[in-house]
Amino acid sequence: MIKIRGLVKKFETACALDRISLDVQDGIMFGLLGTNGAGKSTLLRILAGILEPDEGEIFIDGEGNPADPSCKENIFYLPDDPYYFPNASMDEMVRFYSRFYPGMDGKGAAAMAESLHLDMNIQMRTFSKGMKRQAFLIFALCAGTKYLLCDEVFDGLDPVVTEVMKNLFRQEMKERNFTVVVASHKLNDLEDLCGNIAILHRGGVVTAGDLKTRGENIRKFQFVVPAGRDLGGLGSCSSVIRWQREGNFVRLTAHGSEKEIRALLEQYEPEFLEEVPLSLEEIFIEEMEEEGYDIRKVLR
Amino acid sequence: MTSGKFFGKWIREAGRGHIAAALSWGLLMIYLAVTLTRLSLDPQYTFFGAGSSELLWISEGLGLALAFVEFFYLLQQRKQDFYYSLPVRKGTVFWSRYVHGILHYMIPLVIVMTVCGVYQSTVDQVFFSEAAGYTGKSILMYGAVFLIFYHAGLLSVAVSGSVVTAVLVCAGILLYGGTLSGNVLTVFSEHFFRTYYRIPLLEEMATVLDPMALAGRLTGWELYDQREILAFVPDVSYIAAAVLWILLSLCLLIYAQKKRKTERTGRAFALPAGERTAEILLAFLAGVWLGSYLTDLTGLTDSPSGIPAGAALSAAAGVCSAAVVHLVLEGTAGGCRKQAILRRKWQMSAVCAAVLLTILAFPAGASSFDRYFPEDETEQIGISIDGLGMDYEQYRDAVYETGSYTTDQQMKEYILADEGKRAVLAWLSSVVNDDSANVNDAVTNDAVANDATVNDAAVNDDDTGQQENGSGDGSYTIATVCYRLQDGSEKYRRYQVSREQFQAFSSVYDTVEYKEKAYPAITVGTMADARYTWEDGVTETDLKLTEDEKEALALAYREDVEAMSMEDLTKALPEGFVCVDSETGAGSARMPVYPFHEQTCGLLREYGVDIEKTIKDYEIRSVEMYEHYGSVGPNISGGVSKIICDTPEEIEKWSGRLFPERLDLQPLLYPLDHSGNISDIRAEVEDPRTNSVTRVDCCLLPE
Repeated sequence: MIKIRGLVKKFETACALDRISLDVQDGIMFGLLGTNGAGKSTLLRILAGILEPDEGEIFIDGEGNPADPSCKENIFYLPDDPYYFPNASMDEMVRFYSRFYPGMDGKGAAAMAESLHLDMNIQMRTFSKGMKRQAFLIFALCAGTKYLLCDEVFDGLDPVVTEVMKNLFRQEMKERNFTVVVASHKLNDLEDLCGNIAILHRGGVVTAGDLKTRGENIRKFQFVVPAGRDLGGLGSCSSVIRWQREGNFVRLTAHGSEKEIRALLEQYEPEFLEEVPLSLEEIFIEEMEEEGYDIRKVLR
Repeated sequence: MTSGKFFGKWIREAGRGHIAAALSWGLLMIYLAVTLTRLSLDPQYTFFGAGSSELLWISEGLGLALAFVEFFYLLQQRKQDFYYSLPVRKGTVFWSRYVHGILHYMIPLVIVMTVCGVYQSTVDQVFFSEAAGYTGKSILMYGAVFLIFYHAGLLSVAVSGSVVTAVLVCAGILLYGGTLSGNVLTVFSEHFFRTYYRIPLLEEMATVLDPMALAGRLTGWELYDQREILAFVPDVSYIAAAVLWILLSLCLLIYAQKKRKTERTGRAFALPAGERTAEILLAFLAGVWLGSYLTDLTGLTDSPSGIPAGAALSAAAGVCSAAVVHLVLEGTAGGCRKQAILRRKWQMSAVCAAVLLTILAFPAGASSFDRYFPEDETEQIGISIDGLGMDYEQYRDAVYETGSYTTDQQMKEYILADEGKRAVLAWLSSVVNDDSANVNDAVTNDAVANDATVNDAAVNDDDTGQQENGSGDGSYTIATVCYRLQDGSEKYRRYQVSREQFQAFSSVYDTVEYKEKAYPAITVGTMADARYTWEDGVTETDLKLTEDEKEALALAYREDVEAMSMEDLTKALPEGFVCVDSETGAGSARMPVYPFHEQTCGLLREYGVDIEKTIKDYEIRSVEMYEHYGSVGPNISGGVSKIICDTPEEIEKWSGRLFPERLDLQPLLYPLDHSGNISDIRAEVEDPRTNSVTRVDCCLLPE
């Protein structure tokens, strides 16, 4: 488990991380969401032991120094644009990593590479951007570490490979309590994998937690009302988060159970009424707006 | 895992540094091939280790190149993130690369030195007995040179965050000390200290603070003789300086490695303390350098009355320059924001104060420097007076070049420790006191300056004429003195000497100790196996002397020299030389013979030497004169014209005034005519004994 308490990191006058506190449970994929400059990469680099925090503490499985090699043995860091030796092939990189990560599974890496049609003996510099990303995701999954810190995890992958990779991640998380911390500015990447998500904005945590669970009490409906029907009462109803009318067609998001909201809307005698599933992004937007943030500014 | 295990693994990773390996092994193997070829052709003048400037350059270059190649990752965030994210300490990455770089130089160096040593032993008998010592010394010397440059390069990279800064910092480390001592402190000393000739401490500083100069001294690169090179051991002070360079830079390196901020990669400096240090040093150097440059450029300090103005100008310019450089650096680092530019006001004030104090320390200390006279602490004294005991050519060199070879050489030869030393100190006492008075009363001495024109003929060349009157305080010549103190240190001073003071030097000249230095032939004694010749400036004549005659001649010459006085030299020119050359290598001597050396002249006449014979008594075929002329009209520059006089009338006209240049030995006491535009005169003289023509360089006797 990763515990972060009161983490501060300043670059000259700019505060990259401002008293951040987070808990990352084992065996989940934890998403760090935020715009450029929000502090996602800085947080990952501190967790990887590359940067030192100015203030605050980090405990990884109870150990308080991420820069210590014994601690880093459990962590694989995969940056946005990873480095590899100029003439190295995947096979050479696997051999290199195996010197530092005792649990490196060379055979597993070879098998994954074969399934993704990557040649282990070709120099990596000849690979396309997506192929390089696949190769590094293979290294990350096969390193045998307990934690993976990943910046822009599926960036550059085509939809098919993305799905394959997501399955591999799910499998690893299930089989060996694998914990992944992913930084991204695209919510869609994290939607179907991330258990918990933290949103960072200007170095601080805006919100964090299992947002799907928190989104269980938020529902979205769309309905059609007769022409000229007055819907002014919806605005004064405390359970309604927002509503939008386009002619006779209305979209509404509100707190409460399906039954309660249906009962509320039946008062307006809708000609058509149905519940629409909420995406993670919409749950975020609602959460953020509830907490007083303009989400367009946070996620843009 | 233990850090030792990690270190071992990382060494293997560092082994991926193919560029470092290729550079080092490649260059040294090329050096080996070239050196072996040269050794096979000329083992006596080919030095594979100490004395090899090629290996010196290779070691310096590799030191810097390997430092940059091995530690380039510190300037690349992507690569740095990769290394630092691995389960290995940052220190392990750093020090394993450090060791890797050293191994890639030291292993091929040892191989190259050993192979060359073994090979030269087989082809050079002289070298054979010294092979092990020379090879071992060479490995240590060049190893030290490599480490100095390796650490300098490494320190530059460790404190910097970008390639440009690293290169600039490296250049700063290599050039700063030499520039400060050679181009700033020495210039101030020259201009503010009137008696400045040389300050050994500054010269030592210039060497030990300049890694390139220090490396040269450590490896004996200025030596060319095999015996000297084989016996060469660097001076202890240079060894100490090298060790200090290596250890100090290593300590700074350890500090920089621990304190550098990974997140500052890409910025100018990765170490905040490095940024501040660079700012301070650069602003200080800019201030004092501009001050020294203006002092040199304006020449205000050339006259005593201009010293306050010169000092004020230098100090003001220096302080402004330091402040401007500080602000520019702060602006560059802080993105030209007003707050950033003015954030270190106290630092700027401190640097400006340091510049001010440094510049003003020179005029403030000038008086005590110039009045320095260690009468009681002097154990030996070396003295050289421009124009005394040197021929006309040497005199010109001494006048033209401050710190000339002639002056230095004469100070080494004229080392006095006994009666001569006491006489010199007594004479100098009056010179130093008069000289101090001159500082306050330069105008009074103009009268002396005018008087000095009596000897205008001494150095009548346009440029050397400056010597007499250029200072404006009536100096006739210059006396350069080296005080060798009891504590082993040396202090040099250069005094302006008036005509009267020069004449008073006879109290020194007439001592036996001084004469032994001025006429070393009197201390040589008789060399029974030596060849004696008479040289009259035109031809040489063998003297067939018996052992008794040689002994008599040596004795007579000694008595003549002891009896002569300095004043005698103003009355006559030398007749010629008796040259003594031992055929067994016991030594050689040259005895200038003057007409007042009565006993010597008498003996030479007895031995059949026509000592009165001069160039005009030979048959002169022609006289060539080279005349220099300046601009002769608009857009027409000057040049040299050659005049040949070969008609009997012309030869008759000139022959009476010709005098062999080799005998022009007293340019001050008995000056010949070097006036006018005629620079070189050559006479073609017939030698009747060999029926050949000799070309004799001449000067003119005064009309």
